[in-house]
Amino acid sequence: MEDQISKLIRQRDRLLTLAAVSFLFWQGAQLAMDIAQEGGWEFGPFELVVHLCLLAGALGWAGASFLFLLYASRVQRSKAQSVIQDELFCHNQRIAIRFGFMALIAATALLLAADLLVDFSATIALRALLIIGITAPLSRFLILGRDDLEDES
Amino acid sequence: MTSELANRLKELRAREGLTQAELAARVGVTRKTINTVENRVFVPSTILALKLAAALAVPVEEIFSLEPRGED
Repeated sequence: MEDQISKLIRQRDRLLTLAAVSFLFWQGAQLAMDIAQEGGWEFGPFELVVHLCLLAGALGWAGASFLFLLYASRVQRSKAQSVIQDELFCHNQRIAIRFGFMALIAATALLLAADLLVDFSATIALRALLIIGITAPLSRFLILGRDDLEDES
Repeated sequence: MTSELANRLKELRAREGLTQAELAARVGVTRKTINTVENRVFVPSTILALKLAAALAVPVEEIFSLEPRGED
């Protein structure tokens, strides 16, 4: 049973990593394109790279979403949901959500300050906030889950 | 004066001859939860503390105690 639970937790963490990285690539590339378009800049030889990042990110995000559905049914079948989502999981989830909230406040303040110096559209600001709002809590949750201290004795 | 929660979980678990995984299975949590409680990273709820005490067949105060925080 413990092996099965460890396996499910590893799968969940891999899916969360895929989701966070994919979203960062997808929306990060889109943000770069928005900024370039507003600034009237060209990517030149890097244009293909930016488009590939966008495509790979979008596909990765869609794939992660689909795999999460499969994962959820696998967890339900294994009847391990209450163990996987135990107290530590809820505790780490709360910390990650709080971290994401603080990161969003900090990013909003930075964008407001930046708005005094440079002009940018609401689309750019909202996309930047969306990236932070999704990736910050996911990353924090994954980091919290990685810390394993003194193991079995 | 502030206090923090100390515990003898590792010692009592070893006395029972249980691994972290075996104790985790008894109380219905992951091995990592037991690991973080033992290392004083995570403070368990009263419910989990009572489940741990029941699983080890000891009173809860034998596992957990309050100790003054280091910097006080």
